[in-house]
Amino acid sequence: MWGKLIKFVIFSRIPKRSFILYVFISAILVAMTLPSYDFEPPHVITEFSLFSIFYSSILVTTSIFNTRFGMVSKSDSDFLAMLPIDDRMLVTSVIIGSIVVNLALSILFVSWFVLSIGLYGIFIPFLLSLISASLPAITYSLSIKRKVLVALGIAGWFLLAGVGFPFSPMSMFVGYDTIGFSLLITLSLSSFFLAIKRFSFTNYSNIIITSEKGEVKEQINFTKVRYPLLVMLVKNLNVLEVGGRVNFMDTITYVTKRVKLWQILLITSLMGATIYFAYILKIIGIFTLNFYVIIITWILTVSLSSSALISEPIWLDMNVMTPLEFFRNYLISKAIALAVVLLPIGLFEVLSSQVVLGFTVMVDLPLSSIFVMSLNSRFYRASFQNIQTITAGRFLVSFLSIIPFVVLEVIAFLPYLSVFIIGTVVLLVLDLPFFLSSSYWQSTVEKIMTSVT
Amino acid sequence: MNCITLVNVYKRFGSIEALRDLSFSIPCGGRYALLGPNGAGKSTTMKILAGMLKPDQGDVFIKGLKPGDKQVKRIMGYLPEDPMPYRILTVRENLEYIAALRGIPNPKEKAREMMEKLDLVQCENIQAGKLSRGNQQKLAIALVLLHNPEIVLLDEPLNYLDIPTQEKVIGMLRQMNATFLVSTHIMSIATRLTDHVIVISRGSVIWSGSIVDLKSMGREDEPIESVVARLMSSVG
Repeated sequence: MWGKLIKFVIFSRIPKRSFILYVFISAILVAMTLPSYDFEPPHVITEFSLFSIFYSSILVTTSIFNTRFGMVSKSDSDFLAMLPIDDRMLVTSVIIGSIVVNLALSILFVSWFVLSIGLYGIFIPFLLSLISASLPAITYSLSIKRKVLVALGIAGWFLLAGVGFPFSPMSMFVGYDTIGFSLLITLSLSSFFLAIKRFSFTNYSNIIITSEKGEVKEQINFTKVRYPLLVMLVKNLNVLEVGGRVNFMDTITYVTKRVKLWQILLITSLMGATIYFAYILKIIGIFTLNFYVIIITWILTVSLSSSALISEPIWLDMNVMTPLEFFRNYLISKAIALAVVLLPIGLFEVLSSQVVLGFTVMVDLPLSSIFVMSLNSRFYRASFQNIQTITAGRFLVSFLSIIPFVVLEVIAFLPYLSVFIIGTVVLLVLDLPFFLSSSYWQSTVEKIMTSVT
Repeated sequence: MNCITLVNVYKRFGSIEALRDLSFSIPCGGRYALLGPNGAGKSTTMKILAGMLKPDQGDVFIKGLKPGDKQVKRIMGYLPEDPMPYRILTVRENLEYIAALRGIPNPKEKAREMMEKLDLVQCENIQAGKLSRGNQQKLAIALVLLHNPEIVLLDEPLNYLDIPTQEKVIGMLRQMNATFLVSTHIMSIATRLTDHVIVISRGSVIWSGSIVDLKSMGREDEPIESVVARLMSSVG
């Protein structure tokens, strides 16, 4: 029974072929990386180590907010939980299934870990998967404030390794192999057993149902604007759709939230100010900092873009507009909303004399988001109700989404006006077909209207 | 003049043939029901008429125009089966948003009018995603009828509605001076909302005519559902 249940959970999330493909690609990457480990210059290993700490921290902390979509689907709640099986067995199967899926999706990063610390790096994705699959099952009943506190605590603990703190679960990346692995193993096993003990399908369902408050005090006013683009912009500035495929291909969680614009601008202003001081105080090298600015703003961009259409009732939009007209307005209004959100970071970049990077953040990231949204809408659309299954095609789309990121990183390392202009033109060329092709969007609408999920 | 025309329409989804040589027409002002068993192709037909799917073969016209044309969208309202409005927006915001997108003058007033018509005023500040399924259906109907369309396509419009609300919606729809095509598999809905029936099975029309004609095909005291069931089973 155990085997059947776990197998069901795994293959209801990821098809067998894709699973084998991931493992195969990872094995090739490790085989390619391992021999070069002994010959890599120290600064390359340091960069990979820092990035591994950064990536692992994001992977683990964001999983805390993953109670609804990444772990238990509506179908699981409606049907799996109704089976005459011991609740503990069910929960354990779901968690083990999630671990295997998370592992399959994050295993591609194993080569980074191998580059950072050698052969032992192959164990890290497994341990991280154990934590990221268990944490949502431990924290599902906490309020959002408490979840943020737990996430900040864990993120801080993980990131401390970056400044050489030995008692961090990531300290193996800065030379403390024994302490780092001991802490990571202890954390992952204790998370796993605590998750099995704490999670209950009944409580989970209760929380999902009773947490719903629908009354809204401040209504959004659509009556002051006339043109469809502006009407959609008003909505997109008041409703934030955030999604995370944190481990690159996976749907970790998608959130649609009503927001106050000033709160978002406050957060991005704080981020901008932090970056500003990092430049002024010369905490790290300018190119490394440029690299991380693009990484952080890219993550923000992808989070907003990968949730494209998550709560969009296409049937209703198509009642009003043609597919091309709708998607033109949708993409432009979303890109403008993103530009507004990123504006403080861009301005702080300009203030710290990184004018080109500032313009890249304000112009090129919104342009990149158009490309990512267009691809996702057609090939990798997020589903509000269900856990997404991962296919080889979607995997390919994820890789295509990297094209704008490469352009952005080139500008980050060569921050000259001419490079910025060329990069912007490249991004415009990438976006242009989506504004012209009626058949692309007609097929997208057909796909959405005929999809089962 | 015909407001809806389908001529020899075919539509396949992979190996499944959803529509096979489907042809029918509806005169302007006509009230027609599209009846058929599950999987007959009713929803596919509605989606093609709404311009959301393109037929593989055949011609479709709405008042002489192609479905999906901007002009058609101005005069048509399409309600799919199990519609979900903007779940994050409130009832009022949903109505004002669509009214603003459609360029309806005074969206606030129009939204208020629709909420009053469909008893949605008490939940005007509730997010659509948090409404009961019945209220979501009412909101979806309000969104589709907001611009007073000339052609109305409704796919199972009374799903999830309680009996008093069903009566209210039926009354409202009957007052409208529009061309109706209502897809349903419930005969009583067809008889309340329409006066003509198109029966389809396996993607083709197997019978069409008035409800009076349909009733006359039955034996004395034979319920109309039984007549329809016989029609459907006659094609296997």
